[in-house]
Amino acid sequence: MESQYGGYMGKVLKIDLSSRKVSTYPWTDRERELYLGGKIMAAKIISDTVSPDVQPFSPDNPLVVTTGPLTGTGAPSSSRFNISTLSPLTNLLASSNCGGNFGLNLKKAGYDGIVITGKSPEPVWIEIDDEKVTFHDARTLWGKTTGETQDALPARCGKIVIGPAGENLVLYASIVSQERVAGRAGVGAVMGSKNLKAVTACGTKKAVPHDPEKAREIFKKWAKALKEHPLTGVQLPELGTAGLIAPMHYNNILATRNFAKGQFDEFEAVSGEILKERHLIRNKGCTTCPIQCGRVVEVSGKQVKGPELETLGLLGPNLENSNLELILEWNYLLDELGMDTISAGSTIGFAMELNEKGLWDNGLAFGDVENLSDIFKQIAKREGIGDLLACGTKHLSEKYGGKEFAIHSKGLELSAYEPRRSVGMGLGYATSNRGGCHLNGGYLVLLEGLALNLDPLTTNSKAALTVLFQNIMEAASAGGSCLFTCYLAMPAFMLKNANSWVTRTLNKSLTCFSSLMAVIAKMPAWMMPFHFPGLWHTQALTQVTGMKMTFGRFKEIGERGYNLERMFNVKRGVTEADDALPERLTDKPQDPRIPKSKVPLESLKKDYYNIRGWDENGLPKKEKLAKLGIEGVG
Amino acid sequence: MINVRVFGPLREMLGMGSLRVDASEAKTVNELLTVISKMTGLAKPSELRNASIFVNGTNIISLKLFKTAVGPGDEVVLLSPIGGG
Repeated sequence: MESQYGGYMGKVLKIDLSSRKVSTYPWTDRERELYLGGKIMAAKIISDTVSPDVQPFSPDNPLVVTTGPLTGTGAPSSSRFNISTLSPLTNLLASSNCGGNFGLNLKKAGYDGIVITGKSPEPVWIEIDDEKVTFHDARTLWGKTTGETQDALPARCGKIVIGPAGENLVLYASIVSQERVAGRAGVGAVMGSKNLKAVTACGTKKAVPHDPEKAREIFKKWAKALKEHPLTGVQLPELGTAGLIAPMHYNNILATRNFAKGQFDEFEAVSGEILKERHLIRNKGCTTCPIQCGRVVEVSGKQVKGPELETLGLLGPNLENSNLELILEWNYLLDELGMDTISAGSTIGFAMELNEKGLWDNGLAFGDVENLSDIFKQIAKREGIGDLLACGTKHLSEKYGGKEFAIHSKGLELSAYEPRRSVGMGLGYATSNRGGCHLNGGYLVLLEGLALNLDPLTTNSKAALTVLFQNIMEAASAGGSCLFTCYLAMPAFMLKNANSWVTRTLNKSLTCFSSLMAVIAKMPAWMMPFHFPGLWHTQALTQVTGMKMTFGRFKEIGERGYNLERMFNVKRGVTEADDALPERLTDKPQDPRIPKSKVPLESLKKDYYNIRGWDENGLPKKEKLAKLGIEGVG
Repeated sequence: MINVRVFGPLREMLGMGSLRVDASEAKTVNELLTVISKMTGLAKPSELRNASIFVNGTNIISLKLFKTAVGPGDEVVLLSPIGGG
């Protein structure tokens, strides 16, 4: 099925591992118009094909790999691809995004996505070469690390692979492509449950933009803007995401000691500055990305990917660990084992506190981290206490108690931002469709002290901004872009003049005019027939696809995606009560001298549901779904 | 002495992560930035004024901005606006 729109390959591959039947999944241009691609496309496919009783490790749970229309067209920072499935951690819809080389090569092979169902009786790997699909015996690869597996597969292909953690169904196992990782929500465990060790893709096809010349012009301007912006052109290339550690400490949002605190006295030892001064060999980044935020460091004489902020935070301050060398080693080890560093660090932190409080005698203690390499290996093999740690924070809290300090939302462990001094981020974590994720949650912490200085404790405008940012980031992801490209919407003059009266006035107005922000968040697409400054995605998508992509339409696509995912989760039993955070974050002020330093979640949720057009139980209203054209979905 | 710590791209610009300034030379943040500029010779006061500045853990936008008083034993931190994931 070809497409009239540029950028797409026009075909979605369907593979059933049980029968080894290969076919094409029907995906129409009407669906491309409504769902664009990436995570929203995957949500629609899963919504249409998975009944509410399907369990994450059932052969009926599809593993859906999707790209966006920008992927493979030369658009800056667009080598991303998405993996969606039912999460074994949350039992809800999971989406995990990755920057490796698989998405680009999948399009070269002739496909916009793959839907993999069933279960192979024996370990298998799949080769996709110019639309041709071949099944290979993977018994000799089973048990190998992600690096060993990639080395054993054809060098010219893009690859996604799992490691021992995925094979052994660690609930937060990841999928790896080159050195990049689709880390969150256990997508690797689902791949392992299908006895699928790897998928490779290569080919000779090309994603052709609707207007190649105009697209190239936009890409050039977009790349230049990325290189000139203070965040994507200076801070991220210079320090990587690790550069956030120090500002997070000073803003009291650096998750420390299982989120008991927002500051870590020894933060500098694990900061981006020290990482750069003592360990950085060079910058590295995804193909087609001018930002190059990745770090290359040396571990055991080998040049490997350095840790991102989340890894540093959750394996550092969150465990009261200031040994950066150990974090570098674990980061590499966890990627090789195929395990999410966020959930692994958070689960260990929770286990340490369970032990400290006498709820689970497991031998783990804050600051006592020398043996954690062995613990991670035990988790991957599901041996000893590793078997229980492999189930994640929520499952441990159900077994041993401590729910009030079990740091997750909907079963997914939170990222490294402690939200009591960034209440908008708290709302985002609680309402994120995939569970406790900062990016899917709208990443309001960016405005609450990191890039801008909105009052981090006020609830004013936070619900509206969360809705707005969630929708925009959802659409950017669906288009195939790295979410860092959205930072260009932060006016450079505000970042370069943090203390000027103009910046301070704008910061204040964003929270003073709460009703206006709500109106903007709810504004229909037809009232926004323009390109928003800094969000180059709409201009690029217009030239790449040939669709007339205005800011309003882009935002509406994101809103459609968010509601589609929500409806799928609602059908699996999600209610308002699941949009939750542990009591530690909602009831106990981070600083007893500042009573407001906690997340006033209930009042934020009320505003949020209202702006979203959901009822008080968090259920999208019929008229909202009808307006978005998804009233009959699922 | 006033203890000054620098993070982010500014650290690169100044070529140092920390410095100590004699408290008799600066009574306010504004004066402190002028002293730092002279001491390092690598950044103009106007460039330093654009940083996120914390005095004893509090952002100066919640204090008296550049008129915020500084004194012996105070910790002043200069950060750059930042984003990541």
